[in-house]
Amino acid sequence: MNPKEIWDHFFYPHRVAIIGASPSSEKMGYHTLKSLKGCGFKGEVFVVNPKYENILGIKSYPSLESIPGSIDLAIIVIPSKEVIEVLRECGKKGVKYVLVISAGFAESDLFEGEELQKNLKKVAEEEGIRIIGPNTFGFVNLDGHLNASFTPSFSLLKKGGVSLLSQSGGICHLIMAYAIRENIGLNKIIGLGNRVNTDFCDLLPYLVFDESTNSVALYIEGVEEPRRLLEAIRGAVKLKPIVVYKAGKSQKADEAAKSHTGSLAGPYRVYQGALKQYGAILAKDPLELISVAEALSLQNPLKGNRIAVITLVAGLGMVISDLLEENGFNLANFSKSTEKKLFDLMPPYTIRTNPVDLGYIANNKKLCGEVIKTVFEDKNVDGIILSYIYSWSEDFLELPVEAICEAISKTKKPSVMCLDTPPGIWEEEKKRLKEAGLPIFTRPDLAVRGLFGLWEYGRIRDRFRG
Amino acid sequence: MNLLFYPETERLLKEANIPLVPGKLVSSEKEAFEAAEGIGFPVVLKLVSTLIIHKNRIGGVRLNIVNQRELKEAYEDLLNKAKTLCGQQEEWGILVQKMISKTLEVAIGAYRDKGFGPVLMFGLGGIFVEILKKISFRLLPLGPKDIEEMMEETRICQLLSTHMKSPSIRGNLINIISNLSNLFLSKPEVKEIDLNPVLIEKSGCFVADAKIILLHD
Repeated sequence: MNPKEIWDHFFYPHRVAIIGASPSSEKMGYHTLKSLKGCGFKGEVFVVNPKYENILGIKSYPSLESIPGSIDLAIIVIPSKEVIEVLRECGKKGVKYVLVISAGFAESDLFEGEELQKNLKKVAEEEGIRIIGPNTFGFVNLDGHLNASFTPSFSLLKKGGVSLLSQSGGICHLIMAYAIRENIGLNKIIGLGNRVNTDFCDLLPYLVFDESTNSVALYIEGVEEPRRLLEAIRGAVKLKPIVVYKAGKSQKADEAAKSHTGSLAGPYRVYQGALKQYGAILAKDPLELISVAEALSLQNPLKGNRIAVITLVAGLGMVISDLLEENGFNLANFSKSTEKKLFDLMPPYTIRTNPVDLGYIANNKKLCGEVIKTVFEDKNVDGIILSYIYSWSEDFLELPVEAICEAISKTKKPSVMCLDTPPGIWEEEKKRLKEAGLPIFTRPDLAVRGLFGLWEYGRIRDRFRG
Repeated sequence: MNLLFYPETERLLKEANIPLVPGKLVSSEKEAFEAAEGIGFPVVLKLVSTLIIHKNRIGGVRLNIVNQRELKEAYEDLLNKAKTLCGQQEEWGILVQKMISKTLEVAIGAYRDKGFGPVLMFGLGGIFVEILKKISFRLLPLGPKDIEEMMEETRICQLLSTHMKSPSIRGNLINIISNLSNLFLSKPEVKEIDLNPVLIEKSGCFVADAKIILLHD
């Protein structure tokens, strides 16, 4: 079966009910309703809470049963002890897709936590219900304008091609704030929680089929059947790049992972080796995870490792050259004709070989553009890093946006940009560059890691497509 | 403990085309001397037993024995250790091995993990392994590309190229890894195989010590 037939019910529902919605900001049900109300969701939202007639301006039903018509997705935000009963009600009403945000199951110190989770699994099986959770912040689908989580701010994210599947809700929140600031576009963000009957292996094939997802980022603490997960990754990478951050490198983190989502975290080093073996791209931290996934969602994989650096300042060019070498890249040797062109175009005060220094011609937008196009077109160049800095004032220094966009669309060569600006500067220019498919990173190391991800994926795709 | 005794370990490895350092199990000092003469001095004497996992820790390895006098002393020493350590039930013996002046030591192992199933470990051996932690893991079965990546990750590639130019050494090492993988996968009764150290010298790679542990007795 096409995984879309199951999972689209979660991510593109028409009629959604929140059981446990509340007008009190002390309750998770309040925040969840706020998220759903504020995300531009086009479908209908129903709320269930017998204590109220109206919550945040929406009529409240005493029970799920009393809602007229069918429900595509039920979101449960009530104390763990009451969840099973509501799940039975979902079964009765024919609701097959349920998000359980409630905590207090196997992850908790509650005496009955383990038992409750076992029952939840059993009842779900009997009723034929798919559950995401329990013990999760929820999930978000920016493509479908759906924020089914207890954090309304997820709706501030820009829609893009990166989907994030995470064993930790906290990490999703960390990435959310970062991605908003860095203008990284996300698509679907899912907190798996205790994975009672929905795991990585279930959602990974869905994300591969999902047309709006270009790359997938996984945050993994540990799973019970790592081989199944690895097989799912191997299947997925033939079509879409998978970037993974595996937690639990230190002994302490490994122990914390065990108690965190009630999972069994395996030995870190075996995971590292196995993930690589099965075609995942490994990230060193959660921000690198999302940055590399961003580069992969926007750009084609690299065919080789010869990189051209075009920089506005020599210093940043050197920093980037160092980072490139660390990551196994070579600085491209320009062809004779490129060399000649650059010598003709640029004055002799500046570095006209790789890394190319635009410093002395910075204010000549047209000339900078010519240099950029020449470098992009060199047959000895596999990929390009552009590094600009903000200096003087906008009246003097302009970004050669048109030339960059033209070079990208003409050559289709993988490229990334390193650029940080004071707030409010060059926002329109950055937006246009991103729309042209150029990933922009504020940190040089992340720009290089992004490029590294493109190179890794080129090799992975060759290897696994056979 | 379900540690296989040396002759059985040797047989399995030979069958799998995994080259061992030439050696002979002996049961008297006279036999030891004959074996040493046959192999050629200098030699190594080792106490092998189904009881002893870490020979070094009990002083069960005597390196670089150059003549008969040293051989006699080492043999008696190991014999005494065997008598104190090994009971009536355990199989034990003294192994005479060729002394190899190695340039590099690596470790190759395979085991069954509860979650991952069969796993292969490859890394820098000897005394540096604990400090440098240059170890790399892959799940079994694996392909040539995986072996190459493990050699990259552990930097053994670079170490090999500075010590030895011969591409055949690299080939030997790859063969040992892939033969060990096949051996391990074909023997579901084996819980763990540990080849450590594997000595790398100009003429090739040789397993100096191997442990095979079975799942059940």
